[in-house]
Amino acid sequence: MTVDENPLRIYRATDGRRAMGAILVKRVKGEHGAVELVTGIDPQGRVCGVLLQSQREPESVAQTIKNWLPHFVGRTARSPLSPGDDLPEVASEALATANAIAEGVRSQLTVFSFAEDPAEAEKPVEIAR
Amino acid sequence: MLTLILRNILRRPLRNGLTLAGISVAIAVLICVESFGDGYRSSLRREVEQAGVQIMLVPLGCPYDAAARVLKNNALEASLPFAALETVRNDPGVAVAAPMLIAALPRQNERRVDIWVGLDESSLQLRPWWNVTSGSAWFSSGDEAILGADAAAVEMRAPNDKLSSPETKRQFRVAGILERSGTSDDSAFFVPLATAQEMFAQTGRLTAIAIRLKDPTRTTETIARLQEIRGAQAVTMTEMMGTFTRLVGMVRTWVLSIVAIVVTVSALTVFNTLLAGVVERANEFGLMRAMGASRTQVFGLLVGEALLLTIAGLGVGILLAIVLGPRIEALARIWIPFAPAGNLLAISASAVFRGCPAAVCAGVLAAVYPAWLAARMRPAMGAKSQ
Repeated sequence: MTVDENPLRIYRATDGRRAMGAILVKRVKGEHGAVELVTGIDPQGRVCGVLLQSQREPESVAQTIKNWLPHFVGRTARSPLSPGDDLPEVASEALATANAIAEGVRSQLTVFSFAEDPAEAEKPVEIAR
Repeated sequence: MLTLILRNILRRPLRNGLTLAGISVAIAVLICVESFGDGYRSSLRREVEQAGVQIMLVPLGCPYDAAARVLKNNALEASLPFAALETVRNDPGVAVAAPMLIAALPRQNERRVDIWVGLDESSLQLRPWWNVTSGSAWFSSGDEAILGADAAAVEMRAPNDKLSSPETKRQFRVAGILERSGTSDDSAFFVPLATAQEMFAQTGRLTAIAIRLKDPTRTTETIARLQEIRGAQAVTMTEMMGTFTRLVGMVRTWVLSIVAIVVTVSALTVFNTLLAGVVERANEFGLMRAMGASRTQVFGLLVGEALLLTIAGLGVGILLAIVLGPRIEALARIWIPFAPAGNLLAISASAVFRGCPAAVCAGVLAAVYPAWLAARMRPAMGAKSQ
């Protein structure tokens, strides 16, 4: 990846001809440096897992975020994906990075759902506030 | 005559097409090798001149390796004592002495290395490209960092953003982002010298001292004095550039000898094509002679065919070199230590002009024997075929 681009990469996982899901990679702006997200999504558009491939957060923030990432499992493009809403609250020092990660995962899910079913993805989403 | 030559070439499209491909590849390789030498020399000279440094004081070891590493913002295993800076600054021949501490922090997960460079304000006099696109051009406190253009893009940083170095447990505020300079500074993280010394437990140590002289004609005397500093050695940028250019020149000579073989093989392909053509067209040449064509005209016909094939190969070869040049450069960079940042493989007109005569001569020489054979065909050969 060159420095001038921040592409969203999609790698499709298949078992023979059967679609197993996809792995999406994207960089987002964390509090202390760029964070590279790797998200696994199943064929129904649900998150299987989120990993941070690269980040430069301080140790305490990095640990908080690491413990918080498993809560993304099962979320879809229609989930609010907001700390304190459908995702647990995080310590204030990690909030900016957590919000950036949640936004990043949301954009990955939106792109994935659009790629899978453009008509369904264009329906408005109601987010409870 | 030209129509006849063209018709003869087009009569055997596969054979002549393959010959053309062979010539084109040989010419493309020749032009790329010629251009590489030019590009490397000019990029290295530009990088050294841009630095505005005449002498580099480095720790004992291979001086050229050390100077090149420092120029490319690579860390050294040894270091200089801070006291050396005072001695250098007190030297009557030195105009500017800029200390620097360079440290490489490997980031295993990302398979890359963060380069941290500690500077003091004297470095600005030796970095004419030090301009910021945003933020401030110098640090107002020890907890600030200035980022090269690529480093800022990779880390998605802007002035006033936070930046952390988890490995050294340090946090910074981004003071400014540098303009892209085309040098290794683009991917570096700059911090004040004292901060870098503290970060990397190198208090009182330096990686190198970059020096600009008051009078460059007094380089020899100044170097003699600087060599007396214990644990240090001075190397001039001219010496370093000469050594690297000589090394690359040796590699280029070796590659050129391979290219000579490639050109010879392609000339033999032309020879083979024309010779096969002469055997196949023996009756045709005999008929031409019977109809009044002179030996010179038959000879000229064959040489003309070879010349046209070579010129067409030249055109395709130049196009190939232009199209494939950047890809070859990207591959070559992996193997070239301390490759300068500029364009290493700039296809220049002079490189094309240097490469072309050899290729044309080889093509024409390859045609001489088949053409001579064709010119010796007896007119009776034509009558026999009728």
